[in-house]
Amino acid sequence: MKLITHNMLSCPIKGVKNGFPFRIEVGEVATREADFDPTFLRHILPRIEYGALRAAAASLGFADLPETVPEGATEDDAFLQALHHALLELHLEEGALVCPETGRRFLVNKGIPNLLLHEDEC
Amino acid sequence: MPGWCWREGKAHHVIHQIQLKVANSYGEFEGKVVADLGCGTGMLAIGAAALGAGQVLAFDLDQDALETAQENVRGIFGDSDDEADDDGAAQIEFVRSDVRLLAEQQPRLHVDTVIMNPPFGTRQKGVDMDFLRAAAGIAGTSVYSLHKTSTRDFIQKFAVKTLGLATGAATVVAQLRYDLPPTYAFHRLKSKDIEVDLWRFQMS
Repeated sequence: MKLITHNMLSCPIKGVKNGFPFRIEVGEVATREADFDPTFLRHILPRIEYGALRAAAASLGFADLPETVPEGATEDDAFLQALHHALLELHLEEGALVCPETGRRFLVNKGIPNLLLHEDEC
Repeated sequence: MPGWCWREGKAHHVIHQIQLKVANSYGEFEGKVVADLGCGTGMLAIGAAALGAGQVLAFDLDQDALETAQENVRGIFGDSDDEADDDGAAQIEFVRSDVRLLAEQQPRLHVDTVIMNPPFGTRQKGVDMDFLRAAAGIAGTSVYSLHKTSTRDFIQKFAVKTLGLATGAATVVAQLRYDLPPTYAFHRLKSKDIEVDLWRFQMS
Protein backbone atom coordinates (compact mmCIF):
# COMPACT_ATOMS: atom_id res chain seq x y z
CA MET A 1 0.00 0.00 0.00
CA LYS A 2 1.35 3.37 -1.06
CA LEU A 3 0.76 6.56 0.84
CA ILE A 4 -1.34 8.02 -1.98
CA THR A 5 -3.79 5.26 -1.09
CA HIS A 6 -3.38 5.81 2.64
CA ASN A 7 -4.27 9.46 2.04
CA MET A 8 -7.64 8.54 0.54
CA LEU A 9 -8.76 5.88 3.02
CA SER A 10 -10.70 6.35 6.25
CA CYS A 11 -12.04 4.04 8.93
CA PRO A 12 -15.21 2.53 7.44
CA ILE A 13 -17.01 1.91 10.73
CA LYS A 14 -20.39 3.60 10.79
CA GLY A 15 -20.68 6.54 13.14
CA VAL A 16 -16.94 7.17 13.36
CA LYS A 17 -16.35 10.90 12.93
CA ASN A 18 -12.57 11.15 12.98
CA GLY A 19 -11.63 8.06 11.01
CA PHE A 20 -8.87 9.85 9.09
CA PRO A 21 -5.95 9.57 8.86
CA PHE A 22 -5.14 6.03 9.83
CA ARG A 23 -2.14 5.73 12.10
CA ILE A 24 0.32 3.30 10.54
CA GLU A 25 1.66 0.31 12.40
CA VAL A 26 4.76 -0.69 10.49
CA GLY A 27 5.67 -4.31 9.95
CA GLU A 28 7.59 -4.22 6.70
CA VAL A 29 8.24 -1.34 4.31
CA ALA A 30 9.47 -1.62 0.74
CA THR A 31 10.82 1.13 -1.50
CA ARG A 32 10.22 0.74 -5.21
CA GLU A 33 11.29 3.22 -7.81
CA ALA A 34 8.48 4.73 -9.86
CA ASP A 35 8.62 7.00 -12.89
CA PHE A 36 8.76 10.64 -11.85
CA ASP A 37 5.79 12.43 -13.39
CA PRO A 38 5.49 16.07 -12.27
CA THR A 39 2.28 16.55 -14.27
CA PHE A 40 0.59 13.81 -12.30
CA LEU A 41 1.90 15.23 -9.01
CA ARG A 42 0.48 18.67 -9.84
CA HIS A 43 -2.81 16.99 -10.70
CA ILE A 44 -3.01 15.07 -7.43
CA LEU A 45 -1.55 17.59 -4.97
CA PRO A 46 -4.78 19.56 -4.36
CA ARG A 47 -6.49 16.34 -3.22
CA ILE A 48 -3.77 15.35 -0.79
CA GLU A 49 -4.19 16.05 2.91
CA TYR A 50 -0.60 17.14 3.36
CA GLY A 51 -0.30 16.86 7.13
CA ALA A 52 -1.52 13.27 7.00
CA LEU A 53 0.92 12.44 4.21
CA ARG A 54 3.84 13.97 6.05
CA ALA A 55 3.07 12.08 9.26
CA ALA A 56 2.54 8.82 7.37
CA ALA A 57 5.82 9.23 5.48
CA ALA A 58 7.63 9.89 8.74
CA SER A 59 6.17 6.73 10.25
CA LEU A 60 7.62 4.81 7.29
CA GLY A 61 11.02 6.39 7.94
CA PHE A 62 10.96 9.21 5.37
CA ALA A 63 11.26 12.58 7.10
CA ASP A 64 12.26 14.81 4.15
CA LEU A 65 8.90 16.45 3.48
CA PRO A 66 8.81 20.09 4.62
CA GLU A 67 6.40 21.01 7.39
CA THR A 68 4.04 22.76 5.00
CA VAL A 69 3.60 22.80 1.24
CA PRO A 70 6.10 25.44 0.04
CA GLU A 71 5.11 28.48 -2.03
CA GLY A 72 5.28 27.66 -5.71
CA ALA A 73 5.26 23.96 -4.87
CA THR A 74 4.15 22.89 -8.34
CA GLU A 75 7.38 24.27 -9.85
CA ASP A 76 9.65 23.30 -6.95
CA ASP A 77 11.60 20.31 -8.23
CA ALA A 78 13.10 19.31 -4.89
CA PHE A 79 9.67 19.37 -3.27
CA LEU A 80 8.05 17.43 -6.12
CA GLN A 81 10.78 14.78 -5.90
CA ALA A 82 10.14 14.36 -2.17
CA LEU A 83 6.39 14.32 -2.76
CA HIS A 84 6.83 11.70 -5.47
CA HIS A 85 8.88 9.49 -3.17
CA ALA A 86 6.42 9.82 -0.29
CA LEU A 87 3.27 9.24 -2.33
CA LEU A 88 4.36 6.65 -4.84
CA GLU A 89 7.57 4.90 -3.89
CA LEU A 90 7.09 3.90 -0.27
CA HIS A 91 5.02 0.77 0.25
CA LEU A 92 3.65 -0.62 3.45
CA GLU A 93 3.94 -4.33 2.76
CA GLU A 94 2.99 -5.69 6.17
CA GLY A 95 1.47 -3.89 9.10
CA ALA A 96 -1.80 -2.31 10.10
CA LEU A 97 -3.90 0.82 9.72
CA VAL A 98 -5.20 2.00 13.05
CA CYS A 99 -8.36 4.10 13.33
CA PRO A 100 -7.50 7.31 15.24
CA GLU A 101 -10.90 7.32 16.95
CA THR A 102 -11.67 3.70 17.83
CA GLY A 103 -8.23 2.13 17.73
CA ARG A 104 -9.59 -0.61 15.46
CA ARG A 105 -6.73 -2.22 13.52
CA PHE A 106 -7.09 -3.03 9.85
CA LEU A 107 -4.37 -5.43 8.75
CA VAL A 108 -2.20 -4.91 5.70
CA ASN A 109 -0.94 -8.17 4.23
CA LYS A 110 1.14 -8.46 1.07
CA GLY A 111 0.56 -4.75 0.56
CA ILE A 112 -3.23 -5.13 0.55
CA PRO A 113 -5.17 -3.35 3.31
CA ASN A 114 -8.23 -5.22 4.49
CA LEU A 115 -11.01 -2.74 5.26
CA LEU A 116 -13.79 -5.30 5.61
CA LEU A 117 -15.83 -4.92 8.76
CA HIS A 118 -17.14 -7.54 11.13
CA GLU A 119 -20.91 -7.88 11.17
CA ASP A 120 -21.31 -6.01 14.44
CA GLU A 121 -19.37 -3.00 13.14
CA CYS A 122 -21.56 -2.16 10.14
CA MET B 1 3.61 -14.18 -20.17
CA PRO B 2 4.05 -15.68 -16.73
CA GLY B 3 1.20 -15.06 -14.34
CA TRP B 4 -1.22 -14.29 -17.12
CA CYS B 5 -4.00 -16.61 -16.11
CA TRP B 6 -7.47 -15.17 -16.15
CA ARG B 7 -10.24 -17.12 -14.60
CA GLU B 8 -12.66 -15.44 -16.93
CA GLY B 9 -13.40 -16.62 -20.42
CA LYS B 10 -12.58 -15.15 -23.76
CA ALA B 11 -15.77 -13.12 -24.01
CA HIS B 12 -14.78 -11.20 -20.90
CA HIS B 13 -11.42 -10.52 -22.42
CA VAL B 14 -12.81 -9.06 -25.63
CA ILE B 15 -15.44 -7.01 -23.82
CA HIS B 16 -12.85 -5.59 -21.44
CA GLN B 17 -10.62 -4.65 -24.36
CA ILE B 18 -13.50 -2.74 -25.92
CA GLN B 19 -14.33 -1.07 -22.63
CA LEU B 20 -10.72 0.05 -22.17
CA LYS B 21 -10.49 1.24 -25.75
CA VAL B 22 -13.64 3.33 -25.49
CA ALA B 23 -12.63 4.94 -22.18
CA ASN B 24 -9.16 5.61 -23.54
CA SER B 25 -10.61 7.28 -26.63
CA TYR B 26 -12.17 9.83 -24.26
CA GLY B 27 -8.73 10.43 -22.71
CA GLU B 28 -9.78 9.03 -19.33
CA PHE B 29 -6.52 7.29 -18.36
CA GLU B 30 -3.40 9.26 -19.21
CA GLY B 31 -2.17 10.85 -15.99
CA LYS B 32 -5.45 10.26 -14.18
CA VAL B 33 -6.47 8.52 -10.97
CA VAL B 34 -8.64 5.57 -11.93
CA ALA B 35 -10.63 3.13 -9.78
CA ASP B 36 -11.70 -0.39 -10.69
CA LEU B 37 -14.57 -1.55 -8.48
CA GLY B 38 -14.92 -5.30 -8.07
CA CYS B 39 -11.62 -5.76 -9.87
CA GLY B 40 -11.56 -9.57 -9.78
CA THR B 41 -8.33 -10.69 -11.39
CA GLY B 42 -7.46 -7.10 -12.21
CA MET B 43 -7.86 -7.04 -15.95
CA LEU B 44 -9.42 -3.59 -16.22
CA ALA B 45 -7.04 -2.15 -13.65
CA ILE B 46 -4.06 -3.54 -15.55
CA GLY B 47 -5.45 -2.21 -18.81
CA ALA B 48 -5.94 1.26 -17.35
CA ALA B 49 -2.39 1.26 -15.98
CA ALA B 50 -1.00 0.08 -19.31
CA LEU B 51 -2.84 2.95 -20.99
CA GLY B 52 -1.03 5.49 -18.84
CA ALA B 53 -3.14 5.98 -15.70
CA GLY B 54 -1.18 7.89 -13.07
CA GLN B 55 -2.59 5.64 -10.37
CA VAL B 56 -5.16 2.87 -10.31
CA LEU B 57 -7.01 1.85 -7.17
CA ALA B 58 -8.57 -1.59 -7.47
CA PHE B 59 -11.14 -2.76 -4.94
CA ASP B 60 -12.58 -6.18 -4.32
CA LEU B 61 -14.26 -8.11 -1.54
CA ASP B 62 -12.34 -11.29 -2.19
CA GLN B 63 -8.81 -11.75 -0.88
CA ASP B 64 -8.01 -14.59 -3.30
CA ALA B 65 -9.05 -12.46 -6.27
CA LEU B 66 -6.89 -9.59 -5.04
CA GLU B 67 -3.85 -11.79 -4.60
CA THR B 68 -4.38 -13.31 -8.05
CA ALA B 69 -4.71 -9.81 -9.46
CA GLN B 70 -1.47 -8.81 -7.79
CA GLU B 71 0.27 -11.84 -9.28
CA ASN B 72 -1.11 -10.90 -12.68
CA VAL B 73 0.32 -7.42 -12.27
CA ARG B 74 3.73 -8.85 -11.45
CA GLY B 75 3.51 -11.27 -14.36
CA ILE B 76 2.75 -8.53 -16.83
CA PHE B 77 4.68 -5.52 -15.60
CA GLY B 78 7.48 -7.36 -13.86
CA ASP B 79 8.15 -7.27 -10.17
CA SER B 80 9.98 -4.06 -9.43
CA ASP B 81 11.89 -5.80 -6.66
CA ASP B 82 13.73 -7.41 -9.53
CA GLU B 83 15.86 -4.62 -10.90
CA ALA B 84 16.50 -6.37 -14.18
CA ASP B 85 12.83 -6.13 -15.05
CA ASP B 86 11.78 -2.84 -13.57
CA ASP B 87 8.98 -1.33 -15.55
CA GLY B 88 7.53 0.86 -12.86
CA ALA B 89 5.66 -2.16 -11.47
CA ALA B 90 2.43 -0.61 -12.74
CA GLN B 91 0.72 2.05 -10.71
CA ILE B 92 -1.88 -0.29 -9.27
CA GLU B 93 -3.01 -0.50 -5.67
CA PHE B 94 -5.31 -3.17 -4.30
CA VAL B 95 -7.68 -2.69 -1.38
CA ARG B 96 -10.02 -5.24 0.15
CA SER B 97 -13.32 -3.56 0.78
CA ASP B 98 -17.07 -3.86 0.38
CA VAL B 99 -17.43 -2.07 -2.94
CA ARG B 100 -21.17 -1.45 -2.53
CA LEU B 101 -20.52 0.75 0.52
CA LEU B 102 -17.43 2.50 -0.79
CA ALA B 103 -18.96 5.94 -1.27
CA GLU B 104 -20.45 6.00 2.26
CA GLN B 105 -17.45 4.44 3.96
CA GLN B 106 -14.71 6.38 2.20
CA PRO B 107 -15.51 10.10 2.11
CA ARG B 108 -11.93 10.99 1.09
CA LEU B 109 -11.82 8.63 -1.83
CA HIS B 110 -11.92 10.74 -5.00
CA VAL B 111 -10.79 9.52 -8.38
CA ASP B 112 -11.13 10.88 -11.88
CA THR B 113 -12.56 7.84 -13.60
CA VAL B 114 -14.16 4.57 -12.54
CA ILE B 115 -13.99 1.61 -14.88
CA MET B 116 -15.80 -1.51 -13.76
CA ASN B 117 -17.58 -4.69 -14.66
CA PRO B 118 -20.03 -5.10 -11.80
CA PRO B 119 -21.54 -8.49 -11.06
CA PHE B 120 -24.93 -8.96 -12.59
CA GLY B 121 -27.08 -12.00 -12.68
CA THR B 122 -29.87 -13.69 -10.90
CA ARG B 123 -28.22 -14.35 -7.59
CA GLN B 124 -27.83 -10.85 -6.23
CA LYS B 125 -30.40 -8.70 -7.92
CA GLY B 126 -29.55 -5.05 -8.20
CA VAL B 127 -25.99 -5.38 -6.96
CA ASP B 128 -24.78 -3.65 -10.11
CA MET B 129 -26.88 -0.64 -9.10
CA ASP B 130 -25.10 -0.57 -5.74
CA PHE B 131 -21.80 -0.58 -7.60
CA LEU B 132 -23.02 2.23 -9.82
CA ARG B 133 -24.03 4.35 -6.84
CA ALA B 134 -20.62 3.77 -5.26
CA ALA B 135 -18.85 4.62 -8.51
CA ALA B 136 -20.80 7.84 -8.96
CA GLY B 137 -19.95 8.76 -5.38
CA ILE B 138 -16.20 8.63 -5.93
CA ALA B 139 -15.75 9.59 -9.61
CA GLY B 140 -15.11 13.20 -10.53
CA THR B 141 -15.15 12.87 -14.30
CA SER B 142 -16.70 9.68 -15.58
CA VAL B 143 -17.80 6.10 -14.99
CA TYR B 144 -17.58 3.27 -17.51
CA SER B 145 -19.67 0.26 -16.59
CA LEU B 146 -21.33 -2.81 -18.07
CA HIS B 147 -24.98 -3.63 -17.45
CA LYS B 148 -27.57 -5.94 -18.94
CA THR B 149 -29.30 -4.40 -21.93
CA SER B 150 -32.63 -5.51 -20.44
CA THR B 151 -32.10 -2.97 -17.64
CA ARG B 152 -31.36 -0.05 -19.98
CA ASP B 153 -34.49 2.01 -19.29
CA PHE B 154 -34.15 1.44 -15.58
CA ILE B 155 -30.54 2.63 -15.57
CA GLN B 156 -31.41 5.71 -17.57
CA LYS B 157 -33.95 6.70 -14.89
CA PHE B 158 -31.59 5.67 -12.11
CA ALA B 159 -28.90 7.97 -13.49
CA VAL B 160 -31.18 11.00 -13.32
CA LYS B 161 -33.25 10.24 -10.21
CA THR B 162 -30.80 8.46 -7.93
CA LEU B 163 -27.40 9.61 -9.16
CA GLY B 164 -28.65 13.12 -9.87
CA LEU B 165 -27.04 13.30 -13.31
CA ALA B 166 -28.24 15.63 -16.02
CA THR B 167 -30.37 14.16 -18.78
CA GLY B 168 -27.98 13.01 -21.48
CA ALA B 169 -25.10 12.46 -19.07
CA ALA B 170 -25.67 8.70 -19.16
CA THR B 171 -25.18 7.14 -22.55
CA VAL B 172 -24.83 3.65 -23.96
CA VAL B 173 -21.64 3.74 -25.98
CA ALA B 174 -21.66 0.11 -27.14
CA GLN B 175 -23.91 -2.92 -27.08
CA LEU B 176 -22.19 -6.25 -26.72
CA ARG B 177 -22.95 -9.92 -26.33
CA TYR B 178 -21.69 -11.71 -23.28
CA ASP B 179 -21.32 -15.45 -23.28
CA LEU B 180 -21.73 -16.49 -19.68
CA PRO B 181 -19.77 -19.66 -19.08
CA PRO B 182 -21.80 -22.68 -17.92
CA THR B 183 -19.73 -22.99 -14.76
CA TYR B 184 -22.14 -20.75 -12.90
CA ALA B 185 -24.29 -23.48 -11.41
CA PHE B 186 -27.05 -21.15 -10.30
CA HIS B 187 -28.04 -20.39 -13.87
CA ARG B 188 -30.87 -22.51 -15.08
CA LEU B 189 -29.59 -22.71 -18.61
CA LYS B 190 -26.25 -24.35 -19.27
CA SER B 191 -24.85 -21.49 -21.26
CA LYS B 192 -26.54 -18.27 -22.16
CA ASP B 193 -25.78 -15.26 -24.23
CA ILE B 194 -26.52 -12.02 -22.48
CA GLU B 195 -26.84 -8.68 -24.18
CA VAL B 196 -24.89 -6.05 -22.28
CA ASP B 197 -24.51 -2.31 -22.65
CA LEU B 198 -21.34 -0.41 -22.12
CA TRP B 199 -22.40 2.77 -20.36
CA ARG B 200 -20.56 6.04 -20.03
CA PHE B 201 -21.68 8.29 -17.18
CA GLN B 202 -20.41 11.82 -17.42
CA MET B 203 -20.06 13.14 -13.86
CA SER B 204 -19.01 16.70 -14.55
